[in-house]
Amino acid sequence: MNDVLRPHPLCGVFDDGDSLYVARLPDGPIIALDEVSALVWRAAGTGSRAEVIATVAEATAEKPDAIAQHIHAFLDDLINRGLLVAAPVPDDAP
Amino acid sequence: MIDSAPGVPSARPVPAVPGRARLALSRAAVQVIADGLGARLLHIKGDMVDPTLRPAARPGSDVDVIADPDVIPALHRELLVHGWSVYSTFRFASSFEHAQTYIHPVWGHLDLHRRFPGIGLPDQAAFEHLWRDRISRDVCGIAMNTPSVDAQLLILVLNAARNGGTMPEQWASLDADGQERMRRLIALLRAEVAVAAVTGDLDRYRRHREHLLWKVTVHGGPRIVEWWARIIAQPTVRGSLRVAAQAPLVNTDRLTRRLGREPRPREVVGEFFVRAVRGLREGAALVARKVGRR
Repeated sequence: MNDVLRPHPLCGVFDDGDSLYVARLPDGPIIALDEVSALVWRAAGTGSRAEVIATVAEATAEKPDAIAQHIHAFLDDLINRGLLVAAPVPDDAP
Repeated sequence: MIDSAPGVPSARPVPAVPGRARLALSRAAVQVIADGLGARLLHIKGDMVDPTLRPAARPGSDVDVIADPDVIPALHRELLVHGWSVYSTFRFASSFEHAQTYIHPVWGHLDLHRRFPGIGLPDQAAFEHLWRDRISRDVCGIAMNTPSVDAQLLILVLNAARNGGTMPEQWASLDADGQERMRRLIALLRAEVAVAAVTGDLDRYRRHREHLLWKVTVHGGPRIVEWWARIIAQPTVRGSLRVAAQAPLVNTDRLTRRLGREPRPREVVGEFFVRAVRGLREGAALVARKVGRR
């Protein structure tokens, strides 16, 4: 479950630091990500599921266990929509 | 959609996306379609204009691209596959027959250019020149290309010529080297007549076939003169005959939009006679003005 996540090569990402929109290209639709969902996306672009959960837990002052199920469901949805791809963590990862 | 509990992150498709975001994603969508075909595109205007040429960002209202003329038929077919529909055709979109406009329920409007009005070099040769000096950009994570900064400045000038605008500020601030580069580029792309339409030197090009078309574009004129200008601006006799043959045709793109559906044959015929009467009136008014001037 501790995959490394990154945007799908055919996912368009508009992120001006304020608003965040993503879309599977070339057909759409355009998806708005705001507040917590934007935080999840930005964390997912640079880390694993565990790191995403840790980032969101820290930002929301929630316990990781309390939010993990929701974060996993959200990440799975982004993967199913073709917006994120997940790859297993390599064996030699630190 | 995700069924989200309160406070749980959600992803929602949105009906109204800010123009800047929609246009950037739309460019990326068009680029992905072109990449699937191996088709070369140059993105122009709007948010693709180099910041040195347009310090105040203006995203525009649609996506504009110049496509490799060779691949336009294949690109057209692929756009239709991906939900784009034709809004206006090359034939009817403008006097220059330079672009075909598409519309998409998610992405908005796309202007697919086979040439840029004012560039006199044949389409394929002009595209190759623009492509050779291209600049790479990343938009929404998708790699795409624009013409060189000099070519972008020329496109702004040609756009001003067509829309009755003035010279971009950057034109006046070109140093000697920049002016020389622009002179060479204008000559290379054979854009002298259109540039003269902005600088006010159009009369110097009275003997050029495009002169009347640019004169009508800048100063306006009756439809009949515009059609005559289109006919004589064609580089070949075959082109002139083609434009002459379509002059009496009804603009079915416009009629479709006015009616909100495909026109019936009887409505096309009706429009033909309305246009014919309008053309006769304008022709008569033109003759009357010329007689009055004597």
